[in-house]
Amino acid sequence: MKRKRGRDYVSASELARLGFCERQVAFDDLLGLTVTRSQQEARDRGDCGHAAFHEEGVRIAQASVKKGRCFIATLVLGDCDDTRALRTFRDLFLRRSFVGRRIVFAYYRWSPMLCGWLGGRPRCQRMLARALRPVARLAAMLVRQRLRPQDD
Amino acid sequence: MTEVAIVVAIGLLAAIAWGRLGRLRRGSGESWRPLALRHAELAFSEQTFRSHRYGLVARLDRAYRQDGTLTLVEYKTRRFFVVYRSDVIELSVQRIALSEVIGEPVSIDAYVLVQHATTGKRRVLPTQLLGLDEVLALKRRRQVIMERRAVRLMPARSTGLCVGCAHLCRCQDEFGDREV
Repeated sequence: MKRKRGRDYVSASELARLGFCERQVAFDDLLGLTVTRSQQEARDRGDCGHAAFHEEGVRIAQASVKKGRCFIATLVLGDCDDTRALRTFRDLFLRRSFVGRRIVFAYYRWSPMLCGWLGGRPRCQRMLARALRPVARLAAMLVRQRLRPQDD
Repeated sequence: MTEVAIVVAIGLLAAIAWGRLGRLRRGSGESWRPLALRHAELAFSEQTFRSHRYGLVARLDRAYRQDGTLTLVEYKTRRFFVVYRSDVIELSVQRIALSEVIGEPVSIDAYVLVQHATTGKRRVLPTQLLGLDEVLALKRRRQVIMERRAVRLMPARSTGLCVGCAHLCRCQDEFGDREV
């Protein structure tokens, strides 16, 4: 009998279980998911570890924001495709040359101050967003060109 | 001459200490990161992505962005530092879902960060992911199993992996190749 789950989505962990033991998948489907004590203990241990790992990730992300790594584009455009295109452009083009790295360094140095100034000026933010969008589109085009030969 | 040697030695020691301090500061809990991800930025942590196109859903542990490419990291707590096929499948599904939602290239190379269950020691193990066709073939295979149409069901790779399985006795009764 075919089972329907949501819109027939299959989760990564459901598929991963096939790589472990197909018989277990068939038995679980036939008799319902059965978990032994040792499996439950391992699962609890994993959940605890995951929670700690995630907290660690959040701390790292916060530290990176404190360092001022998220600036003008994010402030005026938000975390959208344009911002991501600029970020990718930075990684693919600017960070690969000495001059580019100096530009990135200068940007990181001055932009928190500029962000602070822009914070209370929504009109300036809108103007800057209008100016940044075409730049981001150009960056996205260059990034697409650079990444075109990428295989699946 | 001796004075010069002392000054050089002190200078060397100071440089080593400075380097170590810097590494400790930079590492801040992420000393496990492989060389390839040393300067990557954390892009996603514990987020769910859905591939509407292929009907797949995956919750990824972490994804790092470097040079315009995302790299996946899966976290596991285990007694052995080993990558299983199930890890590779899980990461491959994550790759498909993430690339569909974000639209950025996701690397075929990924990492499994294994934390030892008792000692807490961490080791990062590289792995290569499956392609789209292989993942879709697995999805079809799962469907066959669910519809009870599978002729032969593959057991766990080794009988040692069956220890603690709730179906061990049943499996031995039915197939006769497991050790109870």
